[in-house]
Amino acid sequence: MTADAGFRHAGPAEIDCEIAVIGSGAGGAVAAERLVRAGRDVVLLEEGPYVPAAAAPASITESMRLMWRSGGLSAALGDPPVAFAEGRCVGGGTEINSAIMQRAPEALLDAWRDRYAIEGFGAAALGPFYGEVLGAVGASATPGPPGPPTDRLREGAEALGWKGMALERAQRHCAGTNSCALGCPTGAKQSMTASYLPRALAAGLRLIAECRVRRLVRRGDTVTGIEAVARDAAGCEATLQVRCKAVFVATGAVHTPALLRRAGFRRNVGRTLRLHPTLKMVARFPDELRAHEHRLPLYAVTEFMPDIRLGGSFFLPGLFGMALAEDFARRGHLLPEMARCGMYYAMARGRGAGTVTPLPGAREPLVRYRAAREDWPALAEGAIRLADAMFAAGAEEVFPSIASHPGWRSTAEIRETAGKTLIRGRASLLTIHLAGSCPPGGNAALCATDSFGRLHGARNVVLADASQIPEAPGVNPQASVMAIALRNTEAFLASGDAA
Amino acid sequence: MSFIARLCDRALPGWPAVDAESRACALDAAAEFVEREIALAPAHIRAGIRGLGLLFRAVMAVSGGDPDRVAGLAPPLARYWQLVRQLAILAYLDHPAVLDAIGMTHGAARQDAFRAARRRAVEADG
Ligand SMILES: Cc1cc2nc3c(=O)[nH]c(=O)nc-3n(C[C@H](O)[C@H](O)[C@H](O)COP(=O)(O)OP(=O)(O)OC[C@H]3O[C@@H](n4cnc5c(N)ncnc54)[C@H](O)[C@@H]3O)c2cc1C
Ligand code: SF4
Repeated sequence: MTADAGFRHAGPAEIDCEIAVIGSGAGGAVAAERLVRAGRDVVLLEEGPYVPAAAAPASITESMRLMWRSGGLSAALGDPPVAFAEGRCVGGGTEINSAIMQRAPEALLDAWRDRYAIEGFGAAALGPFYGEVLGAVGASATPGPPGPPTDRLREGAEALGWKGMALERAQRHCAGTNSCALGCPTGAKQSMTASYLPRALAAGLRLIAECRVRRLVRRGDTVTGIEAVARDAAGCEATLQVRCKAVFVATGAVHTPALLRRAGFRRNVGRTLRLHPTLKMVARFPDELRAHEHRLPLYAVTEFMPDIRLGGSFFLPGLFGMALAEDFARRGHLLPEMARCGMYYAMARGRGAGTVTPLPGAREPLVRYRAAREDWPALAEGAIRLADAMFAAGAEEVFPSIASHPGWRSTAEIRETAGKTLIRGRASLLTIHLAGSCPPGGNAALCATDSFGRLHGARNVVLADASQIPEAPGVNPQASVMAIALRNTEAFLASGDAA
Repeated sequence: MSFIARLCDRALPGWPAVDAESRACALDAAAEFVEREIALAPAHIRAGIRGLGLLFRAVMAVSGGDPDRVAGLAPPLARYWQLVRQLAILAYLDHPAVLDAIGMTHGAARQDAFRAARRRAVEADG
């Protein structure tokens, strides 16, 4: 097999390997690295392109084209729909995310262990795996002053006596470009292309980028190979057959169940997609924040966790304009006031569940999300609390992302009008955290895999991505994805019948 | 001018003010971006957006050409106009001439400055 500098395939139409890993994001990169370090012969297949730091897009519109799945324009259908975003490049979501690293709350990990009957799970069992992955990506406080957008949220929370925390990130010498969502141009972000993948390549990993897996080739309970479409350096596409003894599926919480269902693996697959429905808020302050020149707020209000978390959003002029354009008639006046505005969010630990259904002939599956009864009250409460924090920090005006919302100008106004203005059907909800679509464990009624990611009904398929986080974790999920991927891979290697 | 370009023209904000040539260039970029984003959307979502686009266009043709008025007629039309406007404004405020007008360093120059800053930080750390 040969590849060019973009890791595009330039070899024969059929290749062999011991283990094929599909998807090079937070889960797939960790699994691939651990497997090659154990001496296994591994091919890693990734649908998106390789975008090194030296070639990082210089604008968000270019990044959306190159690195975001579907240009960033995906949505889970429902009432209301929830827009969602995923990465589609070597490194997956870690290349366009903010690299905030958090462990899932201990009580939740223990509750999931019991509810799903997951062996070797829970806070104590996962601790060492979290420790290893957090160390490997240098999870730490970002150097330098956090900046006014962070300060405002912290001041608001402190004035109200609420608990909060500074957020650690996967970075080394972050230069504070505020371009994490574009792809880090400096190499500071310890995304998969800056951390796990270089180590895996040095240890012998074969990476094929711009290679979309179309289907798993199955004989009974054994997946014998993979059929993919690979693009070469000239842009020509050709079918690639990969013969393998075992497969790690790590295409993310949406595409893993889609791929498995297409291959006929359906037991508890793609019926429980979990997410964090998130409501954004624009806040205008009397003094300048210049949020577009600072890092995103690196502070979260934890007072209402695990069900509601308040935090701050990545800010670029274009993204700010987009937030105003949800209802330009009411919010357009804020555009010239950009320097005095910040963007924040209330995120709920969604209790609802979504479904992933592959559509014949289409690349992207149909995703639906049915909110639970608790979801909207949690978001509405989150919006009220967030507005309280903004006013406590001195905001003069706030607008939650609900079309037709007239905005709030005081805490008294919140209390007077919340009942009438927080209208679910007009809310623009979004999420960047997807999980839970193939839960692990011994509970046959709920789980798609055994406790260590081995797919039910298949002899040689292991899952190693966000689909394995049993439910919405209420915090940023990347560290949990990596810890679970590492744990599943270690279990696979220890099982002896590996491949 | 394409239908999407006409909508983008109505969607672009007055702030920051840029000269006519830059605005025309930003408008082209916005229209291209909106078309491209719709083309990149998942097939079932794209079909829905395009269907609504046809409806929006037909209603606009018979109702005097004001997208705000068309959007006021039914929630799905409002959602279509909201989407086009959001994408158009995103592209406008991402355009180099507009970022210049805001006074924001952007593009390769910005990236290079930060790369140099990081190199210095790494070197200082040994
Ligand atoms: C904008 C944004 C900001 C975020 N910020 C944070 C944050 O600060 N902290 C945090 O913890 N989390 C954050 N997240 C979430 C985090 O990035 C994800 O939880 C994590 O990346 C999920 O890992 P994964 O391995 O499951 O999937 P991914 O990282 O999405 O990787 C899956 C990979 O599989 C590939 N793939 C899919 N289908 C195929 C196929 N058929 N063939 C070949 N390849 C395929 C995809 O292209 C992708 O590269 C953010 C996400 C986004 C989008
Ligand atoms: S802020 Fe800039 S330098 Fe720091 S990790 Fe993000 S993109 Fe890289």
